[in-house]
Amino acid sequence: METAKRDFNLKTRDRVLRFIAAGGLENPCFINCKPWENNPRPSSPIMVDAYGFYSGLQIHGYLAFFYQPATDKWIIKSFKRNEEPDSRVLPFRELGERMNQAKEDGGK
Amino acid sequence: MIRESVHCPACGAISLERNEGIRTEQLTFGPQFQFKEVMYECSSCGESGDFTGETDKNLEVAERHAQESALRNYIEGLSEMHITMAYIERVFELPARTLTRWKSGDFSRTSLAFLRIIVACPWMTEIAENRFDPDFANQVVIREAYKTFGAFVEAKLGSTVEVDVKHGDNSTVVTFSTQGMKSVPSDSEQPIFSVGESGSANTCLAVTGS
Repeated sequence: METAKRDFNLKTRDRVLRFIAAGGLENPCFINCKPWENNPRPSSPIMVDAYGFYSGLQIHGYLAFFYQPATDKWIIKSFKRNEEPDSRVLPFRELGERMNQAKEDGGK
Repeated sequence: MIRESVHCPACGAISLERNEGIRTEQLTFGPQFQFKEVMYECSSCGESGDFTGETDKNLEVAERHAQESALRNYIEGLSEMHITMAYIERVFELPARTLTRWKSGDFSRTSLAFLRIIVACPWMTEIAENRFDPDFANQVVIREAYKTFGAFVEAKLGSTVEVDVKHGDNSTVVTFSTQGMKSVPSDSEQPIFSVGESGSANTCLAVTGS
């Protein structure tokens, strides 16, 4: 909850769930699916799905969750600002790299 | 009363460590508030959090009290600026005595959001009084922006700044007249800087010393 509070100003579990249910995760994009590292029963692996998403124009978010059959509950493992580069600027990054390359080539 | 045992929602273990403390939070555009925080940590998987929802309940109650206090302060602050409750109700076309109802504690988060906007931008009431006319709204925004800029110049350069905004049919001219601006060149008739065309309207910003 700390990161939900800090990064999204969502202070309670109920507010996080309502935000998600109201379509707050804009353009969700699958990142990966990995085993839950802290699983106390490794013989019954539990997979954690991670997604990137946007919220408004400023926030690039990260959500990771899994289903625990032992408790029959969906668990939000992580809900925070995404520290990875915002994929919205990736096309411009490629353009920048090409321009730098062209400059280097022109300088030779 | 039978107390239901607490399980870790992540792994189902019942071996949990319970920690209590007093937590302080800051209400957006309002006072700080405190509440009792109850957190659990699972000794089996290491997950931690408010497993029973007790902390969230405590936060909701404390936050509501802080919101009530903030809302009263918003209304009283606006009143000191001669923006009365009846005036707000009239220009925003709200039912009579709406703000009185809010002030007595019967308000929603929407009410709070609305008042925060009015407190942060009191000139929104002028725009509302002119029925959100887009041209008038633009003029008010320009006036307030230059007023803020003038205050900034005054604070930084120690000079008195008078802002004059003149709106023509297709142009807006803003002139700053200054007293004692240290960085103004001796040829004070020359503007320090100017802003040229913006869209169809010609916006000219001139700063002159006197």
